[in-house]
Amino acid sequence: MKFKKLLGVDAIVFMFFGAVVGLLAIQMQNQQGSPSTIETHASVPTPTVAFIPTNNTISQISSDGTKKIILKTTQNSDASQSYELSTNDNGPVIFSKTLPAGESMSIPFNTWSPDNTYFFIKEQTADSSVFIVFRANGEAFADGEAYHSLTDAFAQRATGNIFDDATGWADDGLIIINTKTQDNLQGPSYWFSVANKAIIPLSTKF
Amino acid sequence: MKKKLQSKKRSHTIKRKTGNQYLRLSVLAVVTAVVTFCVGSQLTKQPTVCANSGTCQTDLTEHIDNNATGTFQGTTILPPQIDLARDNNLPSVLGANTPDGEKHIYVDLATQQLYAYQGNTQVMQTFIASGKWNPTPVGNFHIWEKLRATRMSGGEGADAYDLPNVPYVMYFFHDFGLHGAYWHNNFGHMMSHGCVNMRIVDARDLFNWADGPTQNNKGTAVSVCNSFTAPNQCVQENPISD
Repeated sequence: MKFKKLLGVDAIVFMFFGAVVGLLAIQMQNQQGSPSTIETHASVPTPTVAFIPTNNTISQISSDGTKKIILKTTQNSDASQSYELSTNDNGPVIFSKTLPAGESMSIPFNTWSPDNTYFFIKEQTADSSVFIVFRANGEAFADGEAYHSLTDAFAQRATGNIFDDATGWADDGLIIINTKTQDNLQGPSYWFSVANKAIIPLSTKF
Repeated sequence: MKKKLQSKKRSHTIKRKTGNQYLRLSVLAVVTAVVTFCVGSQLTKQPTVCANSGTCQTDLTEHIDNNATGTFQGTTILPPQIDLARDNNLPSVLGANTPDGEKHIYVDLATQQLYAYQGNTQVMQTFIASGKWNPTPVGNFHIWEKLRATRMSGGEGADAYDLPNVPYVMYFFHDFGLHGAYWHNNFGHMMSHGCVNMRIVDARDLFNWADGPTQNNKGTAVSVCNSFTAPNQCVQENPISD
């Protein structure tokens, strides 16, 4: 009988009031766990590229520290620069090239494949970047080529997107390529498979 | 006169009854509030955050398996062999010639770089790979566990991974940690499931320098920043703390 009386309009109002108080307490508790915004700051991650000063030697170790690639630069009198690439301090030269003034060669931070089988370097020309991949032991690839140009392979694939950058290795044999659309927006990413020079489109943008 | 008295008595009875009723109603309201709070708190409770959904609840211990193979993005990976006996012969180089001071690690998500400070001296700056598939939590933490190596697994479908011998693990928030990554080399870009991936050499040097927790002290401080320019300029949006 008493219980029935309690379930009148007044009881419902008081229960509603109690529920509201309970919900407010939950909200206050949740707010304590998530502090307010301090400041928003956005910028785009930038990969490291070690650009070469003249008459210099730079190197980049592998992730596990067991391998090293060395790039020696010589400044020529005609303002061109000669580059020599090797993988040991006194090891044989794997690759050499002379670039005209205004062009340069560099070793990206992520040059080594995770298993240290391959590495890639970057040539910067006046209007584009060229990435070429070598076998770390200095030997030619199975197709007889001394190196594979992933930039050329991407161009031949004719994806409709513009090559932007080769950032690093997704695994032991796949290099990540980022692109831009014709509207200069971020385009899809691709893998360059070193073994067969295939360009593989990805659903994830890196 | 009698009628008036009876009327007064009835009125008094109604008043006393109403007072009791309101007392009971107040108790009912308080009980409802408490029940709502308890039930609601359980219902709105955030699930445990995991960087590695497969192992964060089951395997946050040291785990070395030199015979296992791993998988990452659909490919089979050979993990590095770990020889604990050889580790003892490696000197700790980071901060060796630096005056003593409080150690603090900063992770800059904007530039994908990590900075380590000993007092006011910067002892390390290198590229990392933070969360691509799960965000790396922004906030101020301390290393709560250091493991020479462990196994991490998680993800689903094409993104499933299972990686034994993940080297030089420094957990700072749940199973979010700083550690070496042998399965990719794409530092300077987001590439992880929430952890902070580092080159193995960088993770090794940091691991040998950083402190784990002791009975009286917390481990080395780790601040994950949306952007970072100096130790007192770590910009954090909605930071969390350990």
